Amino acid sequence: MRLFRGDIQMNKRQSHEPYSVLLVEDNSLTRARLRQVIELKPELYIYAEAANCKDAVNALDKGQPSVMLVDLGLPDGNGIQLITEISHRGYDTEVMVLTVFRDEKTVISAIEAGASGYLLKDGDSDYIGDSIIRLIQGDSPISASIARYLLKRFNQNEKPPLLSNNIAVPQLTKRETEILNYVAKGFKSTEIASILSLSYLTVNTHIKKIYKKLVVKSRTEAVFEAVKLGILDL
Amino acid sequence: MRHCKKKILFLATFFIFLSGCTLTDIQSEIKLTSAKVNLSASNTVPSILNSNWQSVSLEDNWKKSHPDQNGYAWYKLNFDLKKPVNELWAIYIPHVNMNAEVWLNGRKLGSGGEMTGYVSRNWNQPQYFVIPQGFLTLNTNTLQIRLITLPNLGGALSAIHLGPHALLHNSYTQQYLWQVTSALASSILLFIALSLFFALWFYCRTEKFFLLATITCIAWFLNSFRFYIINIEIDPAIIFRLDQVLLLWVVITFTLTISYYFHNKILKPFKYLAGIALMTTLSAFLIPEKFVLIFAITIQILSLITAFSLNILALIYAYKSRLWVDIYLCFGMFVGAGLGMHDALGLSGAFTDTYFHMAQYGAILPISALGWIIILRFSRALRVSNNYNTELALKINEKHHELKQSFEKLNQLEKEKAISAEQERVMRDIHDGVGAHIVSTLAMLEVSPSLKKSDISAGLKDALDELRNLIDSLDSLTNDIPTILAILRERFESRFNKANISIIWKLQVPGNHPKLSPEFALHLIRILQEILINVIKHANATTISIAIEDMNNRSVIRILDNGSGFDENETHGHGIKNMKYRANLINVQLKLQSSKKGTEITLRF
Repeated sequence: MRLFRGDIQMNKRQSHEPYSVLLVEDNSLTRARLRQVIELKPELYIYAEAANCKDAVNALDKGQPSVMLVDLGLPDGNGIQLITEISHRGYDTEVMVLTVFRDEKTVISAIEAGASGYLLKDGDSDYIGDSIIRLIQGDSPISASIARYLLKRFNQNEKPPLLSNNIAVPQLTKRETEILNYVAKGFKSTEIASILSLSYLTVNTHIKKIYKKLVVKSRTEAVFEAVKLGILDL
Repeated sequence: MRHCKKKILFLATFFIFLSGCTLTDIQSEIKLTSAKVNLSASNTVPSILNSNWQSVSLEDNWKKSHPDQNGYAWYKLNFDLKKPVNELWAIYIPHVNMNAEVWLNGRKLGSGGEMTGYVSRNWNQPQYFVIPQGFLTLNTNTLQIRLITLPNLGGALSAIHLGPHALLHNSYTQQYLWQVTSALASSILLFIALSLFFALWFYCRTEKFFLLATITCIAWFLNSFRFYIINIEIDPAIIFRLDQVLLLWVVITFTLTISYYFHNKILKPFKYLAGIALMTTLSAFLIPEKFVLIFAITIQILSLITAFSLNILALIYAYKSRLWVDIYLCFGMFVGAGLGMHDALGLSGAFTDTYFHMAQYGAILPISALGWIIILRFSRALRVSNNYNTELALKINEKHHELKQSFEKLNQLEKEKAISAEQERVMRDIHDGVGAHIVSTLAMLEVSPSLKKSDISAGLKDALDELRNLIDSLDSLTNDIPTILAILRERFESRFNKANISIIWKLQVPGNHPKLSPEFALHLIRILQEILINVIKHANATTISIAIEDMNNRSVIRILDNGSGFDENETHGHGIKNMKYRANLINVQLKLQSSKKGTEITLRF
């Protein structure tokens, strides 16, 4: 999501064939524009387009795209369901949520469901194209707002460690908190890497881990709530 | 129904007490009811030959039989003993007024006390003399009794009983009990009552009734002394006047108390009563001796009239209120008045055979009625004060609740005002920001002849930017300076990239930054946006450094670029003017330093 010059060592996958993109967006004009913008990049191609959940699922039935761009406001359902569907199927697909104003609810709920980040719909070709490519190549996009939210979220110590031993609410490590703090102050992953004398890869991996913890945390909390409400019995 | 009951009770009691004199037959062998009397003041019995010996029947009431007397009299009685006497005999004289000395066959048996000077007051004491062995003779015996009394008051001698001491003594003690001991007991009870009433008044100062009742008890208590105090070192004449005065005071205080009870205040006429009582008291000690008796009788009559009028008032009151306590009060007053009337009639000689004073009983019922009233009032006062306390507590609670409610209302109003003010601000901003951009883009479409698609794109992109500014400013997590800078960096990253400007980010300031209001945040965002856009569009720079410093607890944003600088005076457009205006609005010191080597802009908070 962030682009800056001097982006050095990245875990580059060997670029062979173009990466497939599944585009799920109900507004046809926006969809057309996105398609155009994406196809400007030779590394990407539109694997399929869908205007609703049903079509998207059909497309997923046909195969695994490298990336799915999804707008959450779909006529026949929530885009979150699609994101969950991807992880249910165990696909290797990276998901990015399409948004105009990157509002917290949209972005965070998408990440909790398993998305990797967000894309601003009005971004230009470089922005959208490069974001997608870097995502496929292993980058973990994060923004200052997301970092602030994560810090707040993981610092809420309301719920105690859970009922049984296997289920525990994940906590952030000191390093992870440190990294998030820098991100919240506007630092880029590469800058953080040099400040903390780590490699960019390490920083990236930490961010990936943090996202995974968020997913687990939100799932665990959902289970906890269900148990409390008596819906689930452990 | 109740009135009938009361009347019956009253009459019954009255007659019962009237017949009190025949409570029990006196167990005597000889009852002497006739004597010879000689009104001589001499210390020794006048001789038989004295011409002044008159026959009288006992009981001899001087007011009827000897109205002109000087306070002295000798009585001579003869009696025959038919059989010899083996046991101890005694003489029992139920009533003397005021004191008597008894000789039997020339030998003195005894007396009731002092016969000269401060004469003993034995008018309420039955006299009993044991006859020593050998004083009685077979056949004729002569009794000589010297009676002494106050000259104006008249005396009295009741029938004389003789008989075996063993039997006669019982009658004596019975009489003594009824006459003297009862008076003493009633005195004690009065004292207890007055102490109680006083104590209650002491703790309940607001209740005047309690004080009046105490005073009534005091008057009655003092009045009760005369029934059993025999020897006193004060002129009996004065004592007599004092007795009358005390009686008057008893009636007056009781009247005041009861009238206060009826009306809850002392009515004017009754206030005059107190004045009359005082004047009467004074005159009581100034009246010459010969008028004293008339004076006494007048007082007693007036007292009785007052008492009976009071009784009628009490009756009316009890009829209205129908309370048991009032009925009991009426009953007590009737009884008391009845007893008082009985004694007054006795004093004036209406009854022949009565020597039984009953006024000492008169206090019990009315005073106990007062006691009942006082207890009721006291408990009511306690209840009222308790209620008052709980009422007060309730009222305070209520007020507190009201206060809380109005405070909450005020709070709510303030909040609503704040919210609507904020909504207004946001609406204004949408109008001025995004709205203006969209409108100008529209205008562009309609007005510009040589319109390029990229111009429209740019216009709409600016509109989106404005919208993002507003949304960012309203985001609750975006409320301090570092976060605002971070977000702006994200938004401008690609633009800087395209312009080949590298960013040097120096925001490593730790610690907490102050929270900014949405309004403040929006102004700051616009200022910074203007700065960044200027750098991109006009500076021709290759690097831009953005830093926050902490100087003397104040934050400073420092944006430095290595461009070609600008001359403030030569700038077109309102960008810098706007910046300065906004900085002013939020009290931020904006400094621009530009040279050919670059530009430095500082924002001091």
